[in-house]
Amino acid sequence: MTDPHSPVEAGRKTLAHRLTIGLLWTVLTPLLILPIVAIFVFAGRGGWDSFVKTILLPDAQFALRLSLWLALWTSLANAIVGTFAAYVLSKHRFVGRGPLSVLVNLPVAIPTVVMGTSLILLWGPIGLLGRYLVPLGFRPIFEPLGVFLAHVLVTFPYMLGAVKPVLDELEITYEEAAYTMGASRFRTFVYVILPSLKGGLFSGTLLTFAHSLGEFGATAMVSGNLRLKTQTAPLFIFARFEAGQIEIANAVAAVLAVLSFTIFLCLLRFTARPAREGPA
Amino acid sequence: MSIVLDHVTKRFGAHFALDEVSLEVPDGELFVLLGGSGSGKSTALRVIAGLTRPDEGRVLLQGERVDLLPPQKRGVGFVFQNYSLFQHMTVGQNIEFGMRIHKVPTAERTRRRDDLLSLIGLEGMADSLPTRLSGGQQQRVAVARALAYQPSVLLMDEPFGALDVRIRSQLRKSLKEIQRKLKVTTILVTHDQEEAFELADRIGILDRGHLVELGPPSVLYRRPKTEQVARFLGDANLLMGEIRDGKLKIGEAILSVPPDAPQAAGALEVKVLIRPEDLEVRPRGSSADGKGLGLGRILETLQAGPVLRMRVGIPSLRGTPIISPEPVFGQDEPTLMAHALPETGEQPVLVPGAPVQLAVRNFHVIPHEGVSLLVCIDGSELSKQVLEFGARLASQMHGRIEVMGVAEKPSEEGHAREGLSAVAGAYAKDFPNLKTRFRLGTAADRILEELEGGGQGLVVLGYRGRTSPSTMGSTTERLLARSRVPLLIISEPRRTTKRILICMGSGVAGRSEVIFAGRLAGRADAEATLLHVIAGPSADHPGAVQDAQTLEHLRQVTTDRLARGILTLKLMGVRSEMKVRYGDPAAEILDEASSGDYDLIALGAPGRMSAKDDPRRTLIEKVLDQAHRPVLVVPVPRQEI
Repeated sequence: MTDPHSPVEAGRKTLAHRLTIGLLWTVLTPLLILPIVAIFVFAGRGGWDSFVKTILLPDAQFALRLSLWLALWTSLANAIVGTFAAYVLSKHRFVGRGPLSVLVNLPVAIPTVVMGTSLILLWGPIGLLGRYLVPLGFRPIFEPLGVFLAHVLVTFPYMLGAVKPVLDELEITYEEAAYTMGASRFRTFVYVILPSLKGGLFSGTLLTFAHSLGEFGATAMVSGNLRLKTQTAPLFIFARFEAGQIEIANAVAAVLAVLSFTIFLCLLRFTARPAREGPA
Repeated sequence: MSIVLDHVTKRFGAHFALDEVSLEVPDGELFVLLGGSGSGKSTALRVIAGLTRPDEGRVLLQGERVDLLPPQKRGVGFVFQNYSLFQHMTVGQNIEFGMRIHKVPTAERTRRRDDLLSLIGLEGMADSLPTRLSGGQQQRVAVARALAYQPSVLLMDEPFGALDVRIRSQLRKSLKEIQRKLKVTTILVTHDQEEAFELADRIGILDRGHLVELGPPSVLYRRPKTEQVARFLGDANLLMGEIRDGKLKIGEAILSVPPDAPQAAGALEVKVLIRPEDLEVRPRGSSADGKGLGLGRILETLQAGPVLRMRVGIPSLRGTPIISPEPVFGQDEPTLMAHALPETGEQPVLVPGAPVQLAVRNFHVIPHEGVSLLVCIDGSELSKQVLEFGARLASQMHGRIEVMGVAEKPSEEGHAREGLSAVAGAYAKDFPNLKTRFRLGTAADRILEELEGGGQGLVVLGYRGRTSPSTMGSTTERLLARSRVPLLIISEPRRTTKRILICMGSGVAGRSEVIFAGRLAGRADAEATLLHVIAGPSADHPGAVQDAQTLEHLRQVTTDRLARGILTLKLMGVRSEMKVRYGDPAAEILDEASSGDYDLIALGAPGRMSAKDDPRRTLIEKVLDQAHRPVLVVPVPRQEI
């Protein structure tokens, strides 16, 4: 009955099996694994002391802090706006719902540089809104606020993508059960819907945080790459690299890599857990 | 009264989920709404809870009008089919949720929670998460949660739907106990008859948004007011009988009439319901408890659990229309269903082929309303004639008509409604129960919607001929393709319906059209001719294309089939003769129709004749266009073709 050609049956010990696995390692090592290794190798070249000294440089410190703060605020902003959008898109039927659902997901598909450009064309001095707002003193472009707006825009779909499926799965009867028991819409949201969203919100926030931390294209356009003002960690790395200060660039890159790796591990652990906390 | 629905209507688009439903449920009653999917039963429950807003009508809870209040203000407990327990809360927190909202003090809350937990047999489970419980346990927690804040009424939407059969019956018992103990007025919605019978103080049967009948389970089962309910609940033998001078005549048997049966001067045609368990089947010569119905023969037996199901042939009922069970084509004797306890003796006597005598232990008489014709009108001259013809046919068949006015544009609504009320006035004398309704949209869609779920036996509509050579009228075409109910298509009405030409199709087809047209002929007291056309050369030159032997064989087979058809018609009390013709089917049918001066042509049509060149469709088109008389098209189920 067993098929000798089946990869499961015959594959365990044969040469072909070993060759396949070997080939996978051979392909993936230079493509994925070595690049990550390289960062740490270069970052650690000058020894621990020089690494610490490098990341304590004022503008490196500033870039890292700015990136972390931005990531934090972006995640918070998107947790609120994204959940609201997901709730409305999932539970309400209205004219334009279809097109809107597509629109809010567009930032994933459009290159981030283009998104950055679009922000300049909206908020910049000659932009659609900017031409009226800039004279009034509201000028987000080349300011941390602009970078924040760019990050919210670019990472919005990640939050939506994490929360909306959970809401779609959450049958309307849970809300209705709360209503019949006398709970207002607000209470129902806080006590019934929000707790069910915990998982989605958590992974959405982490995803947003990670993406914001590494955001480059839109940031480069909107920030103007101003040292000690709008220069985020990725911009800092790029600038130092271009200036030939490879070790400084690498040290910050290593920090970013470790941060991202930690977030990734958190996500992995969270999603790998049996979905006991989920809605139903 | 705890719960009152007063002419509640709810529409979803053009679909009526609830159509003027009125209902009163007294305090402490366990009321079950029974209906199939799409009957509107869940909508009714949601309207009471405030989760769906009705378009018209009022809802009262404890005498107070609530239909404008949000669900939060109505004080109802609702149990959903999926339980909808909050997964992030413990069982205890779930039960306490409503009480927290209603600001019940903590001590009181804990006490009531524990009381409820012990009531549902889950003591000490307050700290478990719902996901750790079995489906049955979750369902009980859902009931406890809905009862915790002491709502005035409890509403349950298919509460046992997601559970397996054994747990279901166990839970039904405990639900009934809890309901008795707390005396909370309850409406439970289900599609499960057994559940309804086991639980209900009263049952309401909902069908396509109409509350058809309501009453205690035994009354609905034993003494239903309508044929629809008689056939919907359990198995039914339903046959036509005649009441004269206080006696009921079924075939050759004479039974004395129960006091609640309808009475009239002279003869009164009625339907007689005999439940299979009330039909006593005994070996000939032995004594029976019931009143004799006649001698018969067991055709088939089936041991179904604790019941022995039988099909019994009773030749003496020949000529008595049997509405249920439906006759099988070619079946040569009238057949009824009987249930008995399985035999325990060594030598079973109730076996297929055994000669038996039949007696009736109990029966119920239902007034005969006749078949219902749905007539679709659009205000044109033709549709007036169509309505006249439909009304004539209906009264000839002792049936009813329902008139549906359709307008495509909202602006035409007023005009159409006026037309309908004029119709209702004009026909009020002949049809006191005439139903009229107005629908917005395309005629074919609205007719099909109206037919969903049954109720009407026949659709009558006008036909203006083809608009272009390759298409029939679009309404006719769409209905032909999709209707499961026969269509009576009228291009030129006839004064009476006395002679019916039934064209039997080729292949195995031919049962549905014969049975339906036969029933129509029987009710209209018309005579029928069964025609079959053998496609090919004319009879004068049989050897021209086909050899004589093949033709002879074909003739034999056809005659045989026609003879079986004649037998079926005879069983329905219809006089009929058979004819075989040779040649082009359409031409021969048209020729026979005009030379025999028939009033109606009946044809079978396979469902879904999508292909433009389907020969059957071409034939129907030709007959429709050239027959100049009403054509009855009977949909034939696939398996018969």
